[in-house]
Amino acid sequence: MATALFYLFGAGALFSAANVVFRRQAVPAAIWLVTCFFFLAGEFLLLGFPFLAAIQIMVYVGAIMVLFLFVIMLLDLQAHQPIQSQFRHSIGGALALVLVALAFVAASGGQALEAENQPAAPEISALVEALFTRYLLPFEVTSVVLVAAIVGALTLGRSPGGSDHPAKS
Amino acid sequence: MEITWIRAALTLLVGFGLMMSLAAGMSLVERKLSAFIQERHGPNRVGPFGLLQPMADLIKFVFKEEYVPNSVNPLIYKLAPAIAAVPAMMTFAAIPFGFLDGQPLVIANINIGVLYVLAVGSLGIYGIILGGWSSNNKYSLLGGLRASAQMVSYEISLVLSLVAVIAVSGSLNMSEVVAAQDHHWNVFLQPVACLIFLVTMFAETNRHPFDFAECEPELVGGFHTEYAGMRFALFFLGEYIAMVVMSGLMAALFFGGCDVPFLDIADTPWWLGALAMLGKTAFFLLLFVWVRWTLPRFRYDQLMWLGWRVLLPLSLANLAITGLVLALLGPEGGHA
Repeated sequence: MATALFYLFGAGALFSAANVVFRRQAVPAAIWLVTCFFFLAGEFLLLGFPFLAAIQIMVYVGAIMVLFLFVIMLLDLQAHQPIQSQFRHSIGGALALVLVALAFVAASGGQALEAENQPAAPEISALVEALFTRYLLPFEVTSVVLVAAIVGALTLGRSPGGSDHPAKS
Repeated sequence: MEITWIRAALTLLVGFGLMMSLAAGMSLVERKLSAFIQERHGPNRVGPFGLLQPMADLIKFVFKEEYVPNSVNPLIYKLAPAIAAVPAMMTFAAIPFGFLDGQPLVIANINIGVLYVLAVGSLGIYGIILGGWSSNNKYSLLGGLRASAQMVSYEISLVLSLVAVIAVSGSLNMSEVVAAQDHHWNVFLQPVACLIFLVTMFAETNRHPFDFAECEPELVGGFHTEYAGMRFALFFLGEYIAMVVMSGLMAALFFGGCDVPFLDIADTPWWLGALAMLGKTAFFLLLFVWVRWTLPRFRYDQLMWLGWRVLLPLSLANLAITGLVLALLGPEGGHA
């Protein structure tokens, strides 16, 4: 039962993710991404980690995707303005896909994840302790990466003339 | 085994009935109380004292035409009211109403109950955003836009205020948080968190003075401008159930839930505990209406200012101080 559901949710997640990429309109693509997050949360539940499932829905679906939809609606992308794609973008996407897949294989040590015969999920306190002791440095470095992303977005958002307010130029 | 099934089915039936009657009753209480505050009579034609008004409303909603405007996105337009109502109903499952023979009186006794309510409760906003977007109407779109910005701004403070409560209680299970409050309610241990939760609860349910998604003078009807009949009713069913759930959360997490003052939770008869919980929930439900006719609506920039410049720093400082005090008290901290 658990294994069947695991593959069902996995297939659902893949199907939704494909729809995110291939939809030409922004809002339906965003809704498919929300669906994808739901399937992933289901996978976390099946792997015996309800905490991660709840956090996944709370943070990604409840906050980040709401912000995405806000920006999409603010930009007012209409149905007659479908997203344009370029060939060189697909090359970059394929490259990123291969790299991420390699990273996952390296991280899992070549072992496939199984829904059954998983070790009992650690308590939340154990997770937190690992996060703040053993993985403290990667955890903090993540915040540096996020700050770098924000600075990068601000730099790109500013007009080349150096004006602080792109709308005025 | 069979007794467990019967018990589960009974809890489900009673819980669902309670939720729907609270929501329907709230629609009448809101109109009656509004009338009282404005020195009017309010609904008084259907049944004695207008008590059957919710039934009349329901019949009217069901018999209205299910109108779909031109050039809307039909699938999302029809789905949006359901997305608004269903998550609110799901969150009610984790609200505990007391203890019976040491077992919590709750539909679903979830180990991460607080997180579950926050996670599922944050989905209701999609109904408003998608309803506003798919209506193909400028007012609706603006309503959905405002709702999404407001939700992102206030949800962080809401979650942070509850994290402080969780830190004090040492559990994510709603019933355990209630049990930990025997004789010392969290409102006395976490008054700042309680205040932040009180403010953000109004913003999360889109109620006055934060009802920007549908504010009539500026946006006609906001996100529900193009909705009529049962679809329109579903949006408001979702809003009323969200109010019930938020009031229940407030009662359970800050005001001791089923704890009756000066009584041990273990010694309280189950019906008295459930009544105490219902009474506390009812008080906060009435507060929603009371505030609606007392405070004027914010201006939009004031809303953002309050969310980001006041509530967020306040909730972060509250969490930091709570953590510091708990660390100084040692592992026996909190309710010791």
